[in-house]
Amino acid sequence: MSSLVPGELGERLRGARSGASLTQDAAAASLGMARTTLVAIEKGQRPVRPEELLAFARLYGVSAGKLTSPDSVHVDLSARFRRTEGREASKAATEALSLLNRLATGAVQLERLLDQELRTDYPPPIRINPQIASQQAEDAANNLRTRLGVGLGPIPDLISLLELELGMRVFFRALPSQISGLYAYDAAIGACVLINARHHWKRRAQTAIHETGHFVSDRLHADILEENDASVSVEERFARRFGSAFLMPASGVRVRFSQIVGSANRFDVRELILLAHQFGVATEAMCRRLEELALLPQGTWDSLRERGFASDLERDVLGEPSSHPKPALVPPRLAYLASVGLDRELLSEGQLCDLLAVDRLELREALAPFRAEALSLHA
Amino acid sequence: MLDPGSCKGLVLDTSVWINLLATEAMEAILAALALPCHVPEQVVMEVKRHPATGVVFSAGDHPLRQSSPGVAIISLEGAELDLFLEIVGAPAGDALGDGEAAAIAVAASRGLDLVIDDRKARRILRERFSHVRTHWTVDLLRARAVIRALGRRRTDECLAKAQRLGRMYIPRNQ
Repeated sequence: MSSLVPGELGERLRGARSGASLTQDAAAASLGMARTTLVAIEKGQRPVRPEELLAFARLYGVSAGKLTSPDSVHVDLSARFRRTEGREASKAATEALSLLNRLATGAVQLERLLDQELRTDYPPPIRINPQIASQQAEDAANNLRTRLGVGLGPIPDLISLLELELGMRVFFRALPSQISGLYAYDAAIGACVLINARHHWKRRAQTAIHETGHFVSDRLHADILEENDASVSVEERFARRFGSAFLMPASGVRVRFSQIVGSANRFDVRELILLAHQFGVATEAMCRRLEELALLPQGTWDSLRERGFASDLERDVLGEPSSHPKPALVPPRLAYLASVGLDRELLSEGQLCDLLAVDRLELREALAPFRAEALSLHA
Repeated sequence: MLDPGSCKGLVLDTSVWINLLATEAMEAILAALALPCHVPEQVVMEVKRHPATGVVFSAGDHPLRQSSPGVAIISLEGAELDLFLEIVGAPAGDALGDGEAAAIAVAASRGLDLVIDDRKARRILRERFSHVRTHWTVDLLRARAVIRALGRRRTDECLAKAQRLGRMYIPRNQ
């Protein structure tokens, strides 16, 4: 049935059950088998019958190929999250983590099949000292900017920078609105981030860099960034400060702030909106950064909000917001690899849908730009 | 060329169902072909939304479960199931997705014609299952019985919709 040894198949079944957030009791009851049988299968002590394998795949929402192919990549990020957070994740968070798991392992498998593994250039991890975490975050953000050669100004395409220069895997999918994004690292798949595609592009960038903050510090600390997250862990404090320092570097902000104050001889809400726009961040993020840098009094943003700050004001200053392209369901680099795999008959549509976690139509749409007749570079 | 006279029945792969749905004339095409169509469960599960309307199918309103009486949904068992697991569990270069593997297993085991557009699947068919007669979606849309029933103009519209809405793959020599 499969060249896998029973122990490996059992381990994959255990991982798939964990990804589906099912206990052994619940899974065994759904499959109509004794719990002891399921345990024996997962331990590799009892072979899986073909009919049982199909039933497992259906119950866990994975393909039979994912469970049995000797080349499929398996990682259990859910266990890593529970270990580091010390609390149970919400159902939405668990599902998002399972999706990240699937996207990242699929990407790695695709790259391996085409011998195009992602080049990584990770900075050494930083050990956070709780006494000086904020300063460490500022320094780390500056160091990363220097390493990436992006100076002190706004970054037009942060995601490409993270993917191509650092080798992080960044995915965008529609997630429940309370989840901004997730970060996880595993030696087999590298650093991975999943960002809520439903959120505004400025918020997506903030999420991406916040999660990068986790990556540069305690790499093994998986993170789920949820709205109203009251976490005050030192890792979280570091990531928040890192995010604002990276997107709005202190010296760059001070220079532009001084320029605006110098020319307008004032710094009011319109100037705040303008400065935020120059750095590609939300007005709130810039206001809080200016508070952090003592360029505005503490509590300015809360006061503005209480006094009725509205997005109409942003429209007055900046005009109608320009539409920003929706993030691709399949990262362009992976879509290109997928089209190569199809052309070389190394992969089928069905395998690619499984690896990229898309349906047939989504796959065909993602690959269309690479499959159309293109203008040749050679006359 | 699809010859209904010498064909016991068809197995249609996921890629083909997507193209047929995109034509918005699936029922009429199947009726014109007048051949029993066998659909493994794995294929049904991969047809997730309508290419023309965007509607996401639920188990209760899946068009393959509600289409013409000639369409039979199949659960794999016995030798078919073993063959299916052998194909999906092969090293990646020789493996296929669940739907493709199930379609091949059913066609190979039951002596049915297989309609499939995926090129890797067709390569594996040539190498390992050369006894299975294969067709492209385009062959269905250009079958004499279909043109006779739908008319040339409507058949051309179906082809255009399958390409535009379903992004159907047409081999260069077709």
